[in-house]
Amino acid sequence: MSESKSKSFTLLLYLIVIIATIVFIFPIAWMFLTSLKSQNDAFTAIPKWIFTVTYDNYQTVLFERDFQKYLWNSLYVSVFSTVLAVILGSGIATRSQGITSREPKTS
Amino acid sequence: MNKFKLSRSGPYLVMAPGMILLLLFAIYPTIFLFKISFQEYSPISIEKPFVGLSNYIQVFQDQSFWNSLKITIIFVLSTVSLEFFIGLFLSIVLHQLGKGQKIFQSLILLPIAMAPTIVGLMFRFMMNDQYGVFNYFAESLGFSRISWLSDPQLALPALILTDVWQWTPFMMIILLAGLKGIPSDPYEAAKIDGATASQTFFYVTIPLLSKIIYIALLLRTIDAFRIYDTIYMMTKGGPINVTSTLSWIVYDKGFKFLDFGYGAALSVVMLILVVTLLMLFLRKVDLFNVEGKS
Repeated sequence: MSESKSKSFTLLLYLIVIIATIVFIFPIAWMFLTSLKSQNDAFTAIPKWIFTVTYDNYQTVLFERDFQKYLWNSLYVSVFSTVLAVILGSGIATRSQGITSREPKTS
Repeated sequence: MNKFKLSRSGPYLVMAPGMILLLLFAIYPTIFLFKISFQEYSPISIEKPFVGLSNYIQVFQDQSFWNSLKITIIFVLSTVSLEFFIGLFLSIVLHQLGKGQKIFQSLILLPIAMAPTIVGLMFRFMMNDQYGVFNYFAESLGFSRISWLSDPQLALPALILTDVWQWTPFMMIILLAGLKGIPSDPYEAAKIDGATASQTFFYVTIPLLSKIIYIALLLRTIDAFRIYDTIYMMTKGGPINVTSTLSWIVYDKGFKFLDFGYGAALSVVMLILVVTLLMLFLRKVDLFNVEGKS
């Protein structure tokens, strides 16, 4: 492979990866942009790329709704279920481990 | 190693809490599901008579069941194959990449981290025919405005697109991990034997990757079968039932029309389908035998 050919090949690889990244990031980025828009800017037929940034939506979510409660609920469920799963699951795993490691001795 | 020697009953005692909870919250509900699938079970009536197989007969005579089975099969086949081919392609490209692989990889992986409900909401917003950004792109490319989610022709492809968007990265990362695990000597041997790039790919990479491919396909197929939350957020089974998959009609029949017996029979049928699929996969490949010869 000549030097220039491998260089253009690398370029092609980067191009593909960059396009893929844009495709997978765009919806998330768009959601983020929308979160900074006011009601009027968010619902337009032609999307606005330039708009006045507003933090009202975050204000609403963080302080006017029960955000702390929702956050607490999520944390509660995930922490509690993880801890429980680890304790109970390791219990079951210990049992089989106990059987296998003991079997050669008893038999 | 043997510091924590357990007494004879020790292992059973340690295991008991987990097993009891499993029995209570996994085994019992499944048995209950089987039981009420033979009953005329409605939460509002007190009498719940056993009706034998009539719920099952009703399932197989129901046009909407066959319709949803067809939709589910189309959905599963198209999402899984698209995700697989795009994922394989991207993983190979990423694997070739020297600098910046980590950055691109973690950016592409972001969709997996999102809750399906939020993904559904997001895509519904973007696919809206009035203010959705997809229509803006369609218009600037010269197409007319498309009502993605209310057009019976396009609703299912739109759902497939959403699923592919969210789960291709998952496919990609599993396959990438597999590619990284392939040692370099088979490649060197192939190079010495004068294999072309495509020969190397089909006779070295794919066989060595086959186990990982099986696992990835298995996980995605079973997951695609169960799709529910995205449909709930985006189309609610509509327009005219073109997006009502199996899990959707289980919910629809069981909870909307409060016919629990029929819903249970439907879920048993679905359970059998998924388990059969799993068995076929597992027979084909011994997942825990790492040394190949599958």
